[in-house]
Amino acid sequence: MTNILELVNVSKRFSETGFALCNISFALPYGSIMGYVGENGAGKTTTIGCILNTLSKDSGTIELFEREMNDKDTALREDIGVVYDGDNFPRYLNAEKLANVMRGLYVNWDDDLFQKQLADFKLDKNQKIKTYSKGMTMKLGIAVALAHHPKLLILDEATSGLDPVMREEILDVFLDFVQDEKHSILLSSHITSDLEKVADYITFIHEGEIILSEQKDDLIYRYAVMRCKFEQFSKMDKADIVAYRKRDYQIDVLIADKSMAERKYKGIVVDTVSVDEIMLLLVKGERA
Amino acid sequence: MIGLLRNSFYGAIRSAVLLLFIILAVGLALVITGRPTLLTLFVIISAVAASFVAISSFRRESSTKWSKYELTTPVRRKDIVKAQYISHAIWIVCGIILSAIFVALSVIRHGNGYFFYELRDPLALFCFSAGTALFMGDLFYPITYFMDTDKNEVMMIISLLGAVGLTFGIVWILNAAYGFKPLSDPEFYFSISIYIAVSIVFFLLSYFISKLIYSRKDY
Repeated sequence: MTNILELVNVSKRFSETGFALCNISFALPYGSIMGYVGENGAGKTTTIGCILNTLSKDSGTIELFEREMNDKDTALREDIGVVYDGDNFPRYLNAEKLANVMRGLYVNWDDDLFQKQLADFKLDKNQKIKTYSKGMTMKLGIAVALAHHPKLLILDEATSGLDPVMREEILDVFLDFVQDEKHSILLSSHITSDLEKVADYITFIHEGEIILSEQKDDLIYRYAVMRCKFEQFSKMDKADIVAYRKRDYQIDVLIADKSMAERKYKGIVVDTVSVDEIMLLLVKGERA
Repeated sequence: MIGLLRNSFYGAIRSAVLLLFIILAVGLALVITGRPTLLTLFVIISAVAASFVAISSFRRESSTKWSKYELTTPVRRKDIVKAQYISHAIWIVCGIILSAIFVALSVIRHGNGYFFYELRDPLALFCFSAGTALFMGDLFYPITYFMDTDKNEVMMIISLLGAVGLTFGIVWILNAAYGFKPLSDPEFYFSISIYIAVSIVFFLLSYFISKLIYSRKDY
Protein backbone atom coordinates (compact mmCIF):
# COMPACT_ATOMS: atom_id res chain seq x y z
CA MET A 1 0.00 0.00 0.00
CA THR A 2 1.44 3.40 -0.91
CA ASN A 3 1.52 6.21 1.59
CA ILE A 4 0.05 9.64 1.13
CA LEU A 5 2.33 10.92 3.89
CA GLU A 6 5.55 9.45 5.19
CA LEU A 7 7.96 10.84 7.75
CA VAL A 8 11.39 9.29 8.23
CA ASN A 9 13.63 10.38 11.11
CA VAL A 10 12.36 13.93 11.20
CA SER A 11 14.10 16.07 13.80
CA LYS A 12 13.69 19.66 14.83
CA ARG A 13 15.27 21.46 17.76
CA PHE A 14 14.23 24.83 19.18
CA SER A 15 17.28 26.49 20.62
CA GLU A 16 15.22 28.95 22.71
CA THR A 17 13.21 26.35 24.62
CA GLY A 18 15.41 23.32 24.20
CA PHE A 19 12.43 21.30 22.98
CA ALA A 20 13.23 18.85 20.20
CA LEU A 21 11.43 16.47 17.90
CA CYS A 22 13.61 13.39 17.72
CA ASN A 23 13.61 11.08 14.73
CA ILE A 24 9.88 11.14 14.11
CA SER A 25 8.87 8.38 11.71
CA PHE A 26 5.40 7.25 10.68
CA ALA A 27 3.43 6.62 7.53
CA LEU A 28 -0.14 7.37 6.61
CA PRO A 29 -1.52 5.14 3.83
CA TYR A 30 -4.08 6.30 1.28
CA GLY A 31 -7.67 5.89 2.39
CA SER A 32 -6.97 6.01 6.10
CA ILE A 33 -7.22 8.23 9.13
CA MET A 34 -4.36 8.55 11.57
CA GLY A 35 -4.92 9.88 15.05
CA TYR A 36 -1.87 11.71 16.35
CA VAL A 37 -2.03 11.70 20.12
CA GLY A 38 0.04 13.29 22.81
CA GLU A 39 -0.19 15.59 25.79
CA ASN A 40 0.19 19.37 25.46
CA GLY A 41 3.70 20.24 24.33
CA ALA A 42 4.45 16.68 23.19
CA GLY A 43 5.33 17.88 19.68
CA LYS A 44 2.13 17.32 17.67
CA THR A 45 1.91 20.85 16.30
CA THR A 46 5.65 20.93 15.66
CA THR A 47 5.36 17.74 13.63
CA ILE A 48 2.48 19.21 11.65
CA GLY A 49 4.47 22.41 11.15
CA CYS A 50 7.35 20.38 9.69
CA ILE A 51 4.98 18.47 7.41
CA LEU A 52 3.42 21.69 6.12
CA ASN A 53 6.71 23.57 5.85
CA THR A 54 5.63 26.29 8.25
CA LEU A 55 8.58 25.07 10.30
CA SER A 56 11.89 24.09 8.81
CA LYS A 57 13.06 20.66 9.94
CA ASP A 58 16.67 20.05 10.92
CA SER A 59 16.91 16.59 9.38
CA GLY A 60 14.91 13.69 8.03
CA THR A 61 12.55 13.37 5.11
CA ILE A 62 8.86 14.08 4.73
CA GLU A 63 7.12 12.80 1.64
CA LEU A 64 3.68 14.00 0.67
CA PHE A 65 2.12 12.17 -2.28
CA GLU A 66 5.46 10.36 -2.59
CA ARG A 67 7.61 13.47 -2.96
CA GLU A 68 9.20 16.03 -0.69
CA MET A 69 7.40 19.35 -0.61
CA ASN A 70 9.23 22.63 -0.68
CA ASP A 71 8.00 26.21 -0.83
CA LYS A 72 7.76 26.15 -4.63
CA ASP A 73 5.44 23.14 -4.73
CA THR A 74 2.22 25.11 -4.77
CA ALA A 75 0.44 22.42 -6.80
CA LEU A 76 1.09 19.95 -3.99
CA ARG A 77 -0.49 22.29 -1.48
CA GLU A 78 -3.65 22.42 -3.62
CA ASP A 79 -4.20 18.84 -2.43
CA ILE A 80 -3.80 19.56 1.28
CA GLY A 81 -6.52 20.93 3.51
CA VAL A 82 -5.48 22.27 6.88
CA VAL A 83 -7.39 23.15 10.03
CA TYR A 84 -5.60 24.56 13.05
CA ASP A 85 -7.04 24.94 16.49
CA GLY A 86 -8.30 28.51 17.04
CA ASP A 87 -8.18 31.47 14.68
CA ASN A 88 -7.27 30.14 11.26
CA PHE A 89 -8.48 33.20 9.37
CA PRO A 90 -8.30 36.98 9.70
CA ARG A 91 -10.98 38.03 12.15
CA TYR A 92 -12.07 41.01 10.06
CA LEU A 93 -13.45 38.74 7.33
CA ASN A 94 -16.80 37.03 7.10
CA ALA A 95 -17.32 33.69 5.34
CA GLU A 96 -18.35 35.41 2.11
CA LYS A 97 -15.18 37.52 1.95
CA LEU A 98 -13.10 34.56 3.07
CA ALA A 99 -14.45 32.65 0.07
CA ASN A 100 -13.33 35.54 -2.17
CA VAL A 101 -9.84 35.29 -0.68
CA MET A 102 -9.71 31.51 -1.01
CA ARG A 103 -11.01 31.63 -4.59
CA GLY A 104 -7.92 33.68 -5.37
CA LEU A 105 -5.63 31.14 -3.74
CA TYR A 106 -6.95 27.70 -4.73
CA VAL A 107 -7.40 26.67 -8.34
CA ASN A 108 -9.87 23.99 -7.28
CA TRP A 109 -11.93 26.19 -4.98
CA ASP A 110 -15.54 24.97 -5.10
CA ASP A 111 -17.92 27.74 -4.12
CA ASP A 112 -21.01 25.54 -4.27
CA LEU A 113 -19.45 23.02 -1.93
CA PHE A 114 -18.35 25.80 0.42
CA GLN A 115 -21.86 27.29 0.52
CA LYS A 116 -23.28 23.82 1.17
CA GLN A 117 -20.83 23.28 4.03
CA LEU A 118 -21.76 26.66 5.51
CA ALA A 119 -25.43 25.69 5.34
CA ASP A 120 -24.77 22.24 6.82
CA PHE A 121 -22.78 23.77 9.65
CA LYS A 122 -25.40 26.53 10.09
CA LEU A 123 -22.85 29.32 9.63
CA ASP A 124 -24.01 32.76 8.54
CA LYS A 125 -21.84 33.84 5.61
CA ASN A 126 -22.27 37.52 6.49
CA GLN A 127 -21.27 37.20 10.13
CA LYS A 128 -17.79 38.50 10.95
CA ILE A 129 -15.37 35.78 12.01
CA LYS A 130 -14.43 37.81 15.10
CA THR A 131 -17.93 37.20 16.47
CA TYR A 132 -17.74 33.42 15.93
CA SER A 133 -17.59 31.04 18.86
CA LYS A 134 -14.71 28.58 18.97
CA GLY A 135 -16.92 25.83 17.61
CA MET A 136 -18.07 28.02 14.71
CA THR A 137 -14.46 28.92 13.92
CA MET A 138 -13.54 25.26 13.77
CA LYS A 139 -16.53 24.47 11.55
CA LEU A 140 -15.54 27.29 9.21
CA GLY A 141 -12.00 25.93 9.11
CA ILE A 142 -13.28 22.49 8.17
CA ALA A 143 -15.60 23.95 5.52
CA VAL A 144 -12.68 25.85 3.95
CA ALA A 145 -10.39 22.84 4.14
CA LEU A 146 -12.91 20.66 2.31
CA ALA A 147 -13.98 23.26 -0.25
CA HIS A 148 -10.89 22.97 -2.44
CA HIS A 149 -11.17 19.18 -2.77
CA PRO A 150 -7.96 18.19 -0.98
CA LYS A 151 -6.65 14.64 -0.99
CA LEU A 152 -5.07 14.97 2.44
CA LEU A 153 -6.59 16.70 5.45
CA ILE A 154 -4.32 17.75 8.28
CA LEU A 155 -6.21 18.73 11.38
CA ASP A 156 -4.52 20.07 14.48
CA GLU A 157 -6.94 19.70 17.40
CA ALA A 158 -9.75 20.54 14.99
CA THR A 159 -12.53 18.89 16.97
CA SER A 160 -11.58 20.30 20.34
CA GLY A 161 -14.02 23.24 20.37
CA LEU A 162 -17.03 21.32 19.15
CA ASP A 163 -19.94 20.02 21.17
CA PRO A 164 -20.51 16.23 21.11
CA VAL A 165 -23.35 16.44 18.55
CA MET A 166 -21.32 18.52 16.12
CA ARG A 167 -18.24 16.37 16.72
CA GLU A 168 -20.25 13.33 15.73
CA GLU A 169 -21.34 15.06 12.50
CA ILE A 170 -17.80 16.19 11.71
CA LEU A 171 -16.45 12.70 12.32
CA ASP A 172 -19.01 11.38 9.83
CA VAL A 173 -17.74 13.97 7.32
CA PHE A 174 -14.20 12.67 7.90
CA LEU A 175 -15.29 9.06 7.38
CA ASP A 176 -17.03 10.03 4.12
CA PHE A 177 -13.89 11.86 3.04
CA VAL A 178 -11.70 8.75 3.20
CA GLN A 179 -14.35 6.41 1.81
CA ASP A 180 -12.95 6.21 -1.72
CA GLU A 181 -9.45 5.16 -0.56
CA LYS A 182 -7.88 8.14 -2.35
CA HIS A 183 -8.05 10.53 0.59
CA SER A 184 -6.47 10.48 4.03
CA ILE A 185 -6.58 12.42 7.26
CA LEU A 186 -3.95 13.17 9.87
CA LEU A 187 -5.87 14.19 12.95
CA SER A 188 -4.09 15.38 16.05
CA SER A 189 -6.38 15.35 19.04
CA HIS A 190 -6.60 15.14 22.78
CA ILE A 191 -10.05 13.65 22.50
CA THR A 192 -9.14 10.01 22.21
CA SER A 193 -12.79 8.92 22.04
CA ASP A 194 -12.99 10.68 18.64
CA LEU A 195 -9.98 8.75 17.46
CA GLU A 196 -11.42 5.48 18.64
CA LYS A 197 -14.45 6.18 16.44
CA VAL A 198 -12.70 7.11 13.21
CA ALA A 199 -8.97 6.42 13.21
CA ASP A 200 -7.40 3.48 11.42
CA TYR A 201 -3.98 4.17 12.92
CA ILE A 202 -2.99 5.82 16.15
CA THR A 203 0.43 7.31 16.76
CA PHE A 204 1.48 8.42 20.22
CA ILE A 205 4.05 11.16 20.69
CA HIS A 206 5.61 12.08 24.01
CA GLU A 207 8.35 14.65 24.68
CA GLY A 208 9.15 14.87 20.99
CA GLU A 209 9.45 11.14 20.38
CA ILE A 210 7.09 8.61 18.87
CA ILE A 211 6.41 6.08 21.57
CA LEU A 212 3.89 3.91 19.77
CA SER A 213 2.32 3.76 16.31
CA GLU A 214 -0.18 1.00 15.63
CA GLN A 215 -3.39 0.15 13.86
CA LYS A 216 -6.30 1.15 16.06
CA ASP A 217 -7.86 -2.32 15.91
CA ASP A 218 -4.63 -3.80 17.17
CA LEU A 219 -4.59 -1.37 20.06
CA ILE A 220 -8.15 -2.16 21.00
CA TYR A 221 -8.26 -5.90 20.33
CA ARG A 222 -4.64 -7.00 20.71
CA TYR A 223 -3.28 -4.65 23.35
CA ALA A 224 -4.45 -5.10 26.92
CA VAL A 225 -3.73 -3.98 30.43
CA MET A 226 -2.85 -6.47 33.15
CA ARG A 227 -3.73 -5.62 36.74
CA CYS A 228 -0.80 -7.17 38.59
CA LYS A 229 0.20 -7.43 42.20
CA PHE A 230 3.76 -6.34 42.89
CA GLU A 231 4.86 -9.95 43.25
CA GLN A 232 3.24 -10.98 39.95
CA PHE A 233 4.84 -8.03 38.21
CA SER A 234 8.33 -8.97 39.41
CA LYS A 235 7.92 -12.41 37.84
CA MET A 236 6.81 -11.08 34.48
CA ASP A 237 8.94 -11.39 31.38
CA LYS A 238 10.19 -7.84 30.72
CA ALA A 239 9.99 -8.41 26.96
CA ASP A 240 6.19 -8.66 27.27
CA ILE A 241 5.85 -5.26 28.94
CA VAL A 242 5.21 -2.20 26.80
CA ALA A 243 4.72 0.14 29.76
CA TYR A 244 3.64 -0.06 33.36
CA ARG A 245 2.29 2.23 36.01
CA LYS A 246 2.44 1.70 39.74
CA ARG A 247 -0.82 2.35 41.57
CA ASP A 248 -1.55 2.13 45.30
CA TYR A 249 -2.25 -1.62 45.45
CA GLN A 250 -1.38 -2.89 41.99
CA ILE A 251 0.65 -2.27 38.89
CA ASP A 252 -1.11 -1.69 35.57
CA VAL A 253 0.94 -3.28 32.81
CA LEU A 254 0.38 -2.52 29.16
CA ILE A 255 1.04 -5.52 26.96
CA ALA A 256 0.94 -5.89 23.19
CA ASP A 257 -0.58 -9.36 22.95
CA LYS A 258 -3.66 -10.02 24.98
CA SER A 259 -4.18 -13.68 24.06
CA MET A 260 -0.53 -14.48 24.75
CA ALA A 261 -0.81 -12.81 28.16
CA GLU A 262 -3.95 -14.71 29.01
CA ARG A 263 -2.19 -17.99 28.18
CA LYS A 264 1.14 -17.12 29.79
CA TYR A 265 0.06 -15.34 32.96
CA LYS A 266 -2.73 -17.35 34.54
CA GLY A 267 -4.40 -15.71 37.49
CA ILE A 268 -3.72 -12.14 36.44
CA VAL A 269 -6.66 -9.99 35.39
CA VAL A 270 -6.27 -8.95 31.74
CA ASP A 271 -8.53 -6.09 30.68
CA THR A 272 -9.17 -4.60 27.28
CA VAL A 273 -7.69 -1.15 27.09
CA SER A 274 -8.92 2.17 25.74
CA VAL A 275 -6.77 4.60 23.76
CA ASP A 276 -7.05 6.98 26.67
CA GLU A 277 -5.64 4.42 29.08
CA ILE A 278 -2.85 3.48 26.68
CA MET A 279 -1.87 7.14 26.47
CA LEU A 280 -1.87 7.48 30.25
CA LEU A 281 0.22 4.35 30.69
CA LEU A 282 2.71 5.44 28.05
CA VAL A 283 2.96 9.02 29.29
CA LYS A 284 2.55 8.69 33.04
CA GLY A 285 3.97 5.21 33.39
CA GLU A 286 7.39 3.80 32.81
CA ARG A 287 8.48 1.93 29.76
CA ALA A 288 10.20 -1.40 30.04
CA MET B 1 -1.64 35.95 -5.32
CA ILE B 2 -4.98 37.62 -6.07
CA GLY B 3 -6.34 36.05 -2.90
CA LEU B 4 -3.56 37.61 -0.84
CA LEU B 5 -4.19 41.04 -2.34
CA ARG B 6 -7.92 40.69 -1.70
CA ASN B 7 -7.22 39.75 1.91
CA SER B 8 -4.85 42.68 2.28
CA PHE B 9 -7.55 44.96 0.88
CA TYR B 10 -10.20 43.62 3.27
CA GLY B 11 -7.80 44.08 6.16
CA ALA B 12 -7.18 47.68 5.17
CA ILE B 13 -10.81 48.74 4.66
CA ARG B 14 -11.38 50.03 8.20
CA SER B 15 -8.22 52.16 8.12
CA ALA B 16 -8.94 53.19 4.52
CA VAL B 17 -12.34 54.58 5.51
CA LEU B 18 -10.65 56.63 8.21
CA LEU B 19 -8.03 57.79 5.71
CA LEU B 20 -10.73 58.79 3.24
CA PHE B 21 -12.56 60.73 5.94
CA ILE B 22 -9.38 62.60 6.93
CA ILE B 23 -8.43 63.34 3.31
CA LEU B 24 -11.95 64.57 2.55
CA ALA B 25 -12.02 66.77 5.66
CA VAL B 26 -8.56 68.26 5.17
CA GLY B 27 -9.02 68.42 1.39
CA LEU B 28 -12.27 70.35 1.74
CA ALA B 29 -10.62 72.68 4.27
CA LEU B 30 -7.86 73.26 1.72
CA VAL B 31 -10.30 73.95 -1.11
CA ILE B 32 -12.28 76.34 1.09
CA THR B 33 -9.40 78.22 2.77
CA GLY B 34 -6.74 77.85 0.07
CA ARG B 35 -3.92 78.12 2.63
CA PRO B 36 -0.51 77.22 1.13
CA THR B 37 0.88 75.69 4.34
CA LEU B 38 -2.15 73.42 4.56
CA LEU B 39 -1.55 72.29 0.99
CA THR B 40 2.03 71.18 1.69
CA LEU B 41 1.01 69.40 4.86
CA PHE B 42 -1.97 67.81 3.13
CA VAL B 43 0.05 66.27 0.28
CA ILE B 44 2.69 64.84 2.60
CA ILE B 45 0.17 63.47 5.11
CA SER B 46 -1.99 61.87 2.39
CA ALA B 47 0.69 59.51 1.11
CA VAL B 48 2.14 58.75 4.52
CA ALA B 49 -1.35 58.05 5.91
CA ALA B 50 -1.99 55.75 2.94
CA SER B 51 1.18 53.94 3.88
CA PHE B 52 -0.26 53.44 7.37
CA VAL B 53 -3.36 51.87 5.79
CA ALA B 54 -1.25 49.13 4.17
CA ILE B 55 0.70 48.63 7.37
CA SER B 56 -2.49 48.39 9.43
CA SER B 57 -3.69 45.55 7.21
CA PHE B 58 -0.40 43.75 7.78
CA ARG B 59 -0.77 44.18 11.54
CA ARG B 60 -4.33 42.89 11.58
CA GLU B 61 -3.33 39.80 9.60
CA SER B 62 -0.45 39.16 11.99
CA SER B 63 -2.71 39.13 15.04
CA THR B 64 -4.24 35.73 14.09
CA LYS B 65 -2.94 32.37 12.95
CA TRP B 66 -3.47 33.52 9.37
CA SER B 67 0.27 34.15 8.99
CA LYS B 68 0.77 30.45 9.63
CA TYR B 69 -2.30 29.29 7.72
CA GLU B 70 -1.47 31.16 4.52
CA LEU B 71 1.82 29.23 4.34
CA THR B 72 -0.24 26.06 3.91
CA THR B 73 -2.10 27.48 0.90
CA PRO B 74 -0.79 27.17 -2.68
CA VAL B 75 1.30 30.33 -2.59
CA ARG B 76 5.01 30.75 -2.27
CA ARG B 77 6.50 32.69 0.60
CA LYS B 78 7.91 35.27 -1.78
CA ASP B 79 4.41 35.89 -3.14
CA ILE B 80 3.12 36.58 0.37
CA VAL B 81 5.81 39.25 0.80
CA LYS B 82 5.28 40.54 -2.74
CA ALA B 83 1.54 40.95 -2.14
CA GLN B 84 2.27 43.09 0.91
CA TYR B 85 4.64 45.36 -1.02
CA ILE B 86 2.23 45.64 -3.96
CA SER B 87 -0.57 46.50 -1.58
CA HIS B 88 1.66 49.14 0.05
CA ALA B 89 2.43 50.74 -3.32
CA ILE B 90 -1.24 50.69 -4.38
CA TRP B 91 -2.37 52.49 -1.22
CA ILE B 92 0.30 55.16 -1.72
CA VAL B 93 -0.90 55.72 -5.29
CA CYS B 94 -4.46 56.04 -3.95
CA GLY B 95 -3.34 58.61 -1.38
CA ILE B 96 -1.44 60.60 -4.01
CA ILE B 97 -4.36 60.57 -6.46
CA LEU B 98 -6.81 61.74 -3.80
CA SER B 99 -4.54 64.54 -2.62
CA ALA B 100 -3.82 65.55 -6.23
CA ILE B 101 -7.56 65.95 -6.85
CA PHE B 102 -7.94 68.35 -3.92
CA VAL B 103 -4.75 70.23 -4.81
CA ALA B 104 -6.09 70.68 -8.36
CA LEU B 105 -9.45 71.87 -7.02
CA SER B 106 -7.71 74.33 -4.73
CA VAL B 107 -5.58 75.69 -7.58
CA ILE B 108 -8.68 76.01 -9.79
CA ARG B 109 -10.57 77.85 -7.04
CA HIS B 110 -7.82 80.09 -5.70
CA GLY B 111 -5.41 80.32 -8.62
CA ASN B 112 -1.79 79.29 -8.43
CA GLY B 113 -0.55 81.05 -5.35
CA TYR B 114 1.26 77.95 -4.18
CA PHE B 115 4.00 77.02 -6.61
CA PHE B 116 6.80 79.45 -7.49
CA TYR B 117 8.18 77.04 -10.08
CA GLU B 118 4.97 75.93 -11.78
CA LEU B 119 5.73 72.27 -12.47
CA ARG B 120 8.78 71.76 -10.29
CA ASP B 121 7.21 72.56 -6.92
CA PRO B 122 4.16 70.27 -7.10
CA LEU B 123 6.31 67.54 -8.66
CA ALA B 124 8.83 67.77 -5.81
CA LEU B 125 6.06 67.85 -3.22
CA PHE B 126 4.32 64.74 -4.57
CA CYS B 127 7.61 62.90 -5.13
CA PHE B 128 8.88 63.57 -1.60
CA SER B 129 5.51 62.58 -0.22
CA ALA B 130 5.38 59.29 -2.16
CA GLY B 131 9.06 58.62 -1.46
CA THR B 132 8.65 59.08 2.29
CA ALA B 133 5.62 56.76 2.26
CA LEU B 134 7.64 54.15 0.35
CA PHE B 135 10.56 54.48 2.76
CA MET B 136 8.17 53.78 5.62
CA GLY B 137 7.33 50.42 4.13
CA ASP B 138 10.98 49.83 3.24
CA LEU B 139 11.85 50.00 6.92
CA PHE B 140 8.70 48.60 8.53
CA TYR B 141 8.34 45.26 6.72
CA PRO B 142 11.87 43.86 7.05
CA ILE B 143 12.11 44.94 10.69
CA THR B 144 8.71 43.45 11.50
CA TYR B 145 9.41 40.21 9.65
CA PHE B 146 12.67 39.99 11.56
CA MET B 147 11.30 40.82 14.98
CA ASP B 148 8.14 39.85 16.84
CA THR B 149 4.98 41.32 15.37
CA ASP B 150 3.72 42.34 18.80
CA LYS B 151 6.22 45.18 18.79
CA ASN B 152 4.92 46.70 15.59
CA GLU B 153 3.56 49.97 17.08
CA VAL B 154 7.15 50.81 17.96
CA MET B 155 8.25 49.65 14.50
CA MET B 156 5.73 52.01 12.89
CA ILE B 157 7.10 55.01 14.75
CA ILE B 158 10.69 54.01 14.01
CA SER B 159 9.80 53.51 10.35
CA LEU B 160 8.09 56.90 10.10
CA LEU B 161 11.00 58.71 11.71
CA GLY B 162 13.45 56.75 9.59
CA ALA B 163 11.51 57.52 6.41
CA VAL B 164 11.45 61.27 7.14
CA GLY B 165 15.16 61.09 7.98
CA LEU B 166 15.91 59.30 4.71
CA THR B 167 14.04 61.88 2.65
CA PHE B 168 15.79 64.78 4.39
CA GLY B 169 19.11 62.98 4.10
CA ILE B 170 18.80 62.35 0.35
CA VAL B 171 17.59 65.90 -0.28
CA TRP B 172 20.51 67.28 1.75
CA ILE B 173 23.03 65.15 -0.18
CA LEU B 174 21.56 66.28 -3.52
CA ASN B 175 21.60 69.93 -2.45
CA ALA B 176 25.14 69.55 -1.14
CA ALA B 177 26.19 68.08 -4.49
CA TYR B 178 25.11 71.35 -6.10
CA GLY B 179 26.67 73.53 -3.38
CA PHE B 180 23.27 74.52 -1.88
CA LYS B 181 22.57 76.97 -4.72
CA PRO B 182 19.22 77.36 -6.50
CA LEU B 183 18.90 74.60 -9.11
CA SER B 184 18.43 75.10 -12.80
CA ASP B 185 15.67 73.07 -14.49
CA PRO B 186 18.01 70.30 -15.74
CA GLU B 187 19.67 70.09 -12.30
CA PHE B 188 16.29 69.94 -10.58
CA TYR B 189 14.91 67.20 -12.86
CA PHE B 190 18.13 65.24 -12.49
CA SER B 191 17.95 65.53 -8.69
CA ILE B 192 14.31 64.54 -8.51
CA SER B 193 15.03 61.59 -10.82
CA ILE B 194 17.80 60.50 -8.46
CA TYR B 195 15.40 60.76 -5.50
CA ILE B 196 12.74 58.71 -7.30
CA ALA B 197 15.33 56.13 -8.37
CA VAL B 198 16.68 55.82 -4.82
CA SER B 199 13.11 55.39 -3.49
CA ILE B 200 12.42 52.62 -5.97
CA VAL B 201 15.77 50.90 -5.42
CA PHE B 202 15.24 51.01 -1.64
CA PHE B 203 11.73 49.59 -2.11
CA LEU B 204 13.06 46.69 -4.19
CA LEU B 205 15.96 46.14 -1.83
CA SER B 206 13.59 46.11 1.12
CA TYR B 207 11.40 43.55 -0.68
CA PHE B 208 14.38 41.25 -1.27
CA ILE B 209 15.50 41.56 2.35
CA SER B 210 11.97 40.86 3.62
CA LYS B 211 11.72 37.90 1.26
CA LEU B 212 14.99 36.53 2.58
CA ILE B 213 13.96 36.95 6.21
CA TYR B 214 10.49 35.50 5.61
CA SER B 215 11.82 32.50 3.70
CA ARG B 216 13.67 31.41 6.84
CA LYS B 217 10.96 32.23 9.32
CA ASP B 218 9.30 29.50 11.36
CA TYR B 219 5.60 29.68 12.21
